Amino acid sequence: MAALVIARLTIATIPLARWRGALGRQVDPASLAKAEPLPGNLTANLAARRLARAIDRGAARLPGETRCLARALALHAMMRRRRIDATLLIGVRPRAERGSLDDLHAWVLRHGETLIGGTDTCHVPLVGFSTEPPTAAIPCSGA
Amino acid sequence: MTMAIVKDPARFVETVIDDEVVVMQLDSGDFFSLSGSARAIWEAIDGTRDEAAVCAVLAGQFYDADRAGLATDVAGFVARLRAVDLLAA
Repeated sequence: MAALVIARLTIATIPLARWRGALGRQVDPASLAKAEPLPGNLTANLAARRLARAIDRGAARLPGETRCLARALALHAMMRRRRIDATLLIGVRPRAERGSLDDLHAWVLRHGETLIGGTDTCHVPLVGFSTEPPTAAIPCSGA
Repeated sequence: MTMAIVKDPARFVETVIDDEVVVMQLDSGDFFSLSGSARAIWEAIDGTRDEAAVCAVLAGQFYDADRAGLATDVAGFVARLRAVDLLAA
């Protein structure tokens, strides 16, 4: 819960320029698209999925809406604290599909698996921030 | 002679989606959707062209546009890019 509150406050009050460096190195999603997902450490994978579920449960209990970027940021921070690699992606819907609050979207991947922020529609990733070794992700928020 | 307009690639990321260019300003997190003439201006800014040269490129693409209107549009768009820190100082 604390991670979610901190994430919401960070997004609301601090410009992206001040905290994007903490998310890991900036990666080009186009390069991720060519990468083969890696198997990763199974214990870490399970822990990452557990954390993602905890973030979603916490977000449901918090007053007000906790949107995708805050959830992604909170999960990314909790994983980083536990030295579990992850990639946070920010993307946008194609113009023909826009018209809602979800036109912009953030989600978190680990070794190509969407941990949080999976959607029914595909957002085209624009930028990623990663602590994963190179070559480990997929390009779309869709399941 | 006027200065070339130069983008600051450390401050943004961009991607082409269908007929538009989506630009994200990395300091503010703001997104910009550029299509039509805005996309044409953005793409004409290659780091070597000044406003007049950008206008010349656009005049070749938008044959029915009058040059004075084009120059005003390009100047306005460049000023906007500068205001949101997408151009090098």
